[in-house]
Amino acid sequence: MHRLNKYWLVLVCILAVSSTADASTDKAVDEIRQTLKGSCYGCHGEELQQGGIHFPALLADRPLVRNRKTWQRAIGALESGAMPPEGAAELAEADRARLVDNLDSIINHFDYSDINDPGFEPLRRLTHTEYDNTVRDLIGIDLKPARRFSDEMAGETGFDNSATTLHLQSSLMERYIATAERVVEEALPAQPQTVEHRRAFKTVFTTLPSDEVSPSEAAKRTLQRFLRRAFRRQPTNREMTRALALYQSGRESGLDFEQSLKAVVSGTLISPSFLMRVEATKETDQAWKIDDWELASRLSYFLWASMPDDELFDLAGRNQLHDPQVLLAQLDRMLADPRADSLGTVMAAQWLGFGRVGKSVRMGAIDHPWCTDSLMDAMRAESSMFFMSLLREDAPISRLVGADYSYVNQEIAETLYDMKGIYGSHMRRIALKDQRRGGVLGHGTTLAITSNYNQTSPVKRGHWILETLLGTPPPPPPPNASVFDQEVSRDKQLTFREKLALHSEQESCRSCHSQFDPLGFSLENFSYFGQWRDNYTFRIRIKKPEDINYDPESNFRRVTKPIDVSGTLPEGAPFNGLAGLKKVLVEHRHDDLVRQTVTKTLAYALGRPLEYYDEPTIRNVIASLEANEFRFQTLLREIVQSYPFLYKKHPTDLETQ
Amino acid sequence: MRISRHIPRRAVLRSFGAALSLPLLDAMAQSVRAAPKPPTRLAYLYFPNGIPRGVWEPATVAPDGRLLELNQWMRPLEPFKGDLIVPTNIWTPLGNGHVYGPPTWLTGHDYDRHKVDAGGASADQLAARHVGPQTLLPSLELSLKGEGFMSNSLPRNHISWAAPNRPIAREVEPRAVFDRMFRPLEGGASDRSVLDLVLADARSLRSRVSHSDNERLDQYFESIRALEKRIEFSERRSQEMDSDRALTDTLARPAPGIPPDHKEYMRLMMDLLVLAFQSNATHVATFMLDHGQSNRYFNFIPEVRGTWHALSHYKNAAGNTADDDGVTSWDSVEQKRFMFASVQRWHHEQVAYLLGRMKSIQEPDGATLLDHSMIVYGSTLGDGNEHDKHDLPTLIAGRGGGTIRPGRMVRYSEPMNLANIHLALLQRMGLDIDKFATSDRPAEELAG
Repeated sequence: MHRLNKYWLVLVCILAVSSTADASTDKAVDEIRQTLKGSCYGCHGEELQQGGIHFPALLADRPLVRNRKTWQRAIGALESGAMPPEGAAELAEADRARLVDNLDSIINHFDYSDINDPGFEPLRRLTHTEYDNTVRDLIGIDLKPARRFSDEMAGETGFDNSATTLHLQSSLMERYIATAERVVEEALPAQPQTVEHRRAFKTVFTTLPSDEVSPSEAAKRTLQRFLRRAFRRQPTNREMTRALALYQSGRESGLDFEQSLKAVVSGTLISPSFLMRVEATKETDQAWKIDDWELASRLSYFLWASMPDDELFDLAGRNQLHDPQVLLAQLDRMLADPRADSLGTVMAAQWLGFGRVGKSVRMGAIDHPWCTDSLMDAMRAESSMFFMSLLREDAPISRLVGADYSYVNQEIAETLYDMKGIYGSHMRRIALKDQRRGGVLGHGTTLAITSNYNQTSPVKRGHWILETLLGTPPPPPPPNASVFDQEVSRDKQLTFREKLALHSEQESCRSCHSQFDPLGFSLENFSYFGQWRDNYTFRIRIKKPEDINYDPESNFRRVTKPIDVSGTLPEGAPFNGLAGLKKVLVEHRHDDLVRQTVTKTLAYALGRPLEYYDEPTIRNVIASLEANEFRFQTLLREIVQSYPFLYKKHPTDLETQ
Repeated sequence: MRISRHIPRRAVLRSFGAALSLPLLDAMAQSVRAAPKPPTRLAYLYFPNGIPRGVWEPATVAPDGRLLELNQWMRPLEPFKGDLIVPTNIWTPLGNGHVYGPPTWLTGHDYDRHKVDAGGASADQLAARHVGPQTLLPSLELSLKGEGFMSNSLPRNHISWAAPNRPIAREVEPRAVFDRMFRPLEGGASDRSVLDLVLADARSLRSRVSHSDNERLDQYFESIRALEKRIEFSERRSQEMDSDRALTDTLARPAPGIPPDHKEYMRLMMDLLVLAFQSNATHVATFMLDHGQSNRYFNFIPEVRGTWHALSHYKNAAGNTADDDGVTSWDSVEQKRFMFASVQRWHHEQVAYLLGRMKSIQEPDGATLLDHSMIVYGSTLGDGNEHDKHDLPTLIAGRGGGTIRPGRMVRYSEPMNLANIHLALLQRMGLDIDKFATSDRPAEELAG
């Protein structure tokens, strides 16, 4: 009874405190609703949802920061006067100011101190890359079986490891089954001949029958170890019993020791505990700490895109992995391991987009014979090796943009960099002294993925910098945007910059284009695949192709125009070319660059889209970076020790609805 | 359900990639006696980028709505005008376009990119759930492999949704489609004792994971159940075919990979679709003729140049919009519109090929496969240049087993929710429902 009273007292206090805060927020939300109803519901209400904006639903989704990005767009549109548009509803200046104030305090000055939610990483299947790597590390041979699976799609996080897109379907299950059998046959032939086969044999058959060890005891020991590695936790007694029963039935039907175990191995490869990342539940509405086996998997799938190794399993088995010192020592060890290259080839490739080079971004081989598969492989390698150098050398985050070195081989050097004296196909680090390149903005990959086919797009490049690199995308274009005036657009002797300047004379266009055009134009010295150029070249057709003597080349006249790479940031800082761009980004947009790097790395590490309740974690990580010269390893250390990485909590009903 | 064994099998063999030969039709006719009513099949064919306004308007229509003559752009479909309904004024109120169109076309809901949520299961999947238990595969989801920047974008690539947050992976490789239907499962992992083992493992996981994770674990059970069914089917089939072993080995299995010739690729996938319906491997299918913002080149069509999406913005002929490739330009808006329409006509030709194949196949009751089918063919944009959400180009082919009276134009004076058409078709597939997503009534006009 006494305890109960105390409990009530605490509860009443909590309610009292939170209700004052809630009451003032409620009042503000009511005001917001009134104003929006009067001036905005016409286009963004129950009837119409222009631009996908539905204010009644947004207002019902509390706290409002859950949809922070959408609200920030609304604040921006209200502040700039873009909304409400001319001819639509009226909004008095005083009401507008009040609305912006209210939204600003609720959204941008939200009090996160009470927010204490690590989120929930749902059960999900392995990505195709994780599947390949896990099979490689489990069996000991790199067969890349997932090449036969259908393409993986990326969802909202931009990463393919997000649980929201990783579903299991029968068509995939059929491929898993066919693959399980094939992997076992290819990796574990009856007569291992090659070094690889012998390694695979040793990796799987850890105990063989001998004079001291009976076949059934050897099978038991082998399976105990194999299942621990395959399920990434200790197998339960029942799981062991079932696996041994399957082995036994193989023996009884006349199969030998190895054949019988191989049946269990291929069965394990289609078991849910192998194919899926599974974390145990707890009956609580509080957050709980995940166990060490789960932590080992979170670490290994984040840093290696693969299963944990024996050292991690042993630490988990001894329940030592969560010890901060042990955890950080493991992070160092894992980062040094070649498997950590997946942070470049998977995480950075998907964040920065360079994974698309050679796939959806490539030039036709007939018209562009220089655009070979080996060139595009090397381009991707340049970007991922560069990214890994930042992590392994504990570089400051700003070096992502500001670096003065890169990685090339002969083909990149000659085809893209116009550089002599680099021989051979292997990638090597080179110092860049002339300021023409360096940093991710000077990579062939970045320049290619931000171009149209055969033509640069300063708009896309500027947009990429704002959205992908800095995480501050401009608002989407208004419905009637993006079309040049016919006469302007057909004039073949105007540069794109000149056309865009004419286009941007309209106020509605300029407010946005001024944010990204200058960024993109500063990169115009790089062609659509990243080659250097000093001038634009125009081909002006001087005869009609119907002409009987039509010859594609002789009927064009070449006109050159110098490229103008100067610009100013919206806040006024002038700059020139890539070197200038790098400098202003590091000086003026450093906060955005850091926040975006943190956000992306955290979303990848957690394998889920970030939510408003992750904001305290992001802020903590940034604060620690500030104290440590913004170095990449601080970022990794903070993430693996962060609340959402170590804990989980059931989603509230509201979220599961 | 026993399908007279020799017919589908032979039809499978000989008709593969070629017209059915006459002796086989005779063989089919022999089995007409005492045959049960063939099932109704349902397919959705999606194309992206919309149309140039006007090309979906038939040239001559009788006062009672009868289609007398299609138009120059729809000419490839002229031989099938008696099998078609051309409805006007169709829209999907909650989502459309390149991105939101594919996930909303068959779900009738809106699409939330952040949550990857299409609001509900798609019409084809509801049908599959209902009639799927009778067939080898509940449904078949086909697509041509995408090209260009958007080819791994999730919403642009998925029209079939098993649940609001579960897009269904499409098959893009002809051989994989064929194997799913006609090849026994490879490997000992499909062995009964192994499946029992993994099912037991999965059941014991149930108590380990949370409620919401259990829903995800269900996907595992579903996929294993689908496999068991497949194994059952193939066992039964191999018993049936024991006396006919020679046939098994001559099945025309497509080569691996993607055929380089686009037309050959599309027709091969259509052959497989016909084969699936004809052999009753499935009764429900979707086929994306391309992803929602296809940038594919159709330069192989005479007088066409530039990518599909660029062509769809036909009012800018200078070749300098963000959609253009930078090398292609046009002399006039008229010329670009002509090319855009030509791409559409080319797709009509391929759809005509599909309808022709279906019409050439006689079912046990003497009617054709097309008569027993309902094929919806359409896009999630009206005029491509305007990103128009009204007047979505839509065609419905087939007689739905006698429940649809085709050969007509059906004019709606008010915008007609596509969900109402989905509802009408689902009812014809035997679903006992009177509402689908945002529908307010079934489209009774299909019955005439």
